[in-house]
Amino acid sequence: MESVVDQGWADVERTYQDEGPFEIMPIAYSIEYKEKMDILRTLMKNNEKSERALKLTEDIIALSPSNYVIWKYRQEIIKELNVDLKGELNLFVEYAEENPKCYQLWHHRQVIIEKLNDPLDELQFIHDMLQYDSKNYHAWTYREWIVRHFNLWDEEIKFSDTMIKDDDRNNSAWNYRFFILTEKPDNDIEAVLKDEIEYAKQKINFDPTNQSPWMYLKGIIEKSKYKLADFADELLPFCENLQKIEPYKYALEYQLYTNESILKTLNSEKEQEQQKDICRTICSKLEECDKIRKKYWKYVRESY
Amino acid sequence: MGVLDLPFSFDEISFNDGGIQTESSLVQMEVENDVKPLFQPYHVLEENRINYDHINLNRHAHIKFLRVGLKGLSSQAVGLDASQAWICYWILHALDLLGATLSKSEIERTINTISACQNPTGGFGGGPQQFSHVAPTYAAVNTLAIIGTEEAYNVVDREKLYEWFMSLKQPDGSFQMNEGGEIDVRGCYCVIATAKLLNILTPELTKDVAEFVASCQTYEGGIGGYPGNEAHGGYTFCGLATLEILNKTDYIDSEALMEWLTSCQMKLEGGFQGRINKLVDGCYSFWQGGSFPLLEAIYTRNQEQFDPCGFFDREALQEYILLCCQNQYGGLLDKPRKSPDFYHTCYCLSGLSLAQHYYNYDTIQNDFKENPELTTIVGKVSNLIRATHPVHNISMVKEKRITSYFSNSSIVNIGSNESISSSIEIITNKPKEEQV
Repeated sequence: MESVVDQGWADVERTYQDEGPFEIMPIAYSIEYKEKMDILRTLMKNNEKSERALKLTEDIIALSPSNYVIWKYRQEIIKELNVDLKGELNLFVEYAEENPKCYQLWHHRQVIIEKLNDPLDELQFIHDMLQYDSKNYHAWTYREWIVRHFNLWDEEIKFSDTMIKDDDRNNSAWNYRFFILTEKPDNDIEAVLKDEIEYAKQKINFDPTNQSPWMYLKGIIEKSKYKLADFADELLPFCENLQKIEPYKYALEYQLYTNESILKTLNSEKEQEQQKDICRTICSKLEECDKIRKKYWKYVRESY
Repeated sequence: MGVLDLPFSFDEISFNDGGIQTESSLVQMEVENDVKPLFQPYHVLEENRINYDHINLNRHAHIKFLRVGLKGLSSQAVGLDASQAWICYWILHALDLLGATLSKSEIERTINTISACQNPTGGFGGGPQQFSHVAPTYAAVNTLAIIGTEEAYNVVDREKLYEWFMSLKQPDGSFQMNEGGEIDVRGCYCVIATAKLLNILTPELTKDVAEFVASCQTYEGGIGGYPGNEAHGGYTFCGLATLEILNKTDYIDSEALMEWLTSCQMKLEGGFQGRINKLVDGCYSFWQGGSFPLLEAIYTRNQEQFDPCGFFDREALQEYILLCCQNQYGGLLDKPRKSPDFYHTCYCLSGLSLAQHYYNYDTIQNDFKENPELTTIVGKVSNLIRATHPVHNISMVKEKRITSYFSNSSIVNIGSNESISSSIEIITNKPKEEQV
């Protein structure tokens, strides 16, 4: 029977997979995969770093892209050979479409870019990848790495805005906005706080049922030197206005957090008790309109 | 509680897009439209409603589905070639929860395969002759724990494994997944949970791990994979379970975490989403559901008063798993229209177990105790499956057995000034019969 692997491997012994005397859950490997792996094991044993080894890893990646062993060996070969690193990036594109959530693919890309020490056009590339899946966790994680590693913070707030405009419920984009504003070296949250509150309010007005801007609003204020209570005069009426027609649970939640924050500023027992009453009333409303979290809201109410 | 008992039409608790359609809202509505007809026949407002005591866990079909996997996988499984230790764990844990007993041959073959995955460095690869990686190492050790025999336990070379774990440790406390590999909160959980079962947790190994995990808690309250990343159910469980093992749950803001976590249970589907504004997925029944016993333990230690049945809607979660995640020919799945696989079978059942059993944290023995009086079963009484351990996700019985086996074999540092690798010696003494 003719081998599926070409004659270039005649000199290489085969190292068969040793799964022990009697294995569980054997995989019925295709002849092609089995034979290529048998050769690869020998190459890895002999520590062969050659063009043909590089080519073989590519063949196997095509059959099993999440096999971390092959990726690691490939990275070792690349280290020794004078490989065109930019060409390596094309390999990623070839498999990323079908395996966008493969840890190995993304990590490989990071290793290559780190070696090139050049961010190239990676920000555009990630943007393109996010067109397929705008919430791809690996893509966002990789973008954060690129921005941190190469100090590319400047255009990123704009980018978060582009992504939020595409889908204002994309929580990954909101998290990214928070990341840029709070992790950027020498950031000054207080300086942008007013604008960010305005930004979140605008998105909430657009769709009060969207949890992401609500969380962002609370998060960004708490990250600054201010407390929620410091913005009560502006944000409590904002929540109440929204609810003139129907109750929005995230607006109620926000009212609760703000009132809780006010509670912490009060000194007299009488004032505290009145404030607790306000909090308890909001919790009761939440118990009504957020049924699935009834036990949680009851706990919060009883904790005052 | 539960969604089926709510006296509203499903439309009233459906997602409301406020007239604004985005990609997120469109896919959310699609899922709800798939779920509603599966719930409808059991709904309290339905005229000829089916009594929901009839809701059935298709136990035999699932056992069959899992057993077929143990016999062998088709050539299409080649993509899982580096996940063999994981598949062993997923299948064996699911079978264990379902109460299936492994045959002698299945046990022997599993030990053979897991042994073949072990490297001379002490770690385990995803398959035979694959270099070590912390994720399959966690899966391999959990698999051996599920088998639960002395022969299985003795496969592990604890001393070597410890040295290998130490070689992956980073200055910030975290761990690489393998030599030169990526770093995230999964690595912390896989290393710390495995080390806990094997009793090789040392101050050197645990140094700054809690600090790293805490730095991954986001403004949302949940935990991301790496500082700056979005809060995510999988990483949240990994981070919280790590802190629980290290007795350092006070490093994070547990109130904020509870707020986020409870908001991830879907109001119509009853299952959990992994991130805000994402879709329900059966596997988060465990990854998100599993954080509740851990958080409730914190609340118990802080002497907070809360509902005796905890913080999430346990009935609603069971409804989702039983009505939306079962394939009639066996196996469980992400959501309706998806195919079953071993991963989802394992984590849907693990989530079901957590929703059925209630765990009290025993502040005297510092351990989780099942409270049988609070067991909640949706559907047939026979749907009850075994209780899983909320930190390790192997059954309670198996966790007890392995920790008690290794409790007398500790790693001891001889002379604090010596280098780490030379200062470690494993002392094995006392036969295990002496333990109670």
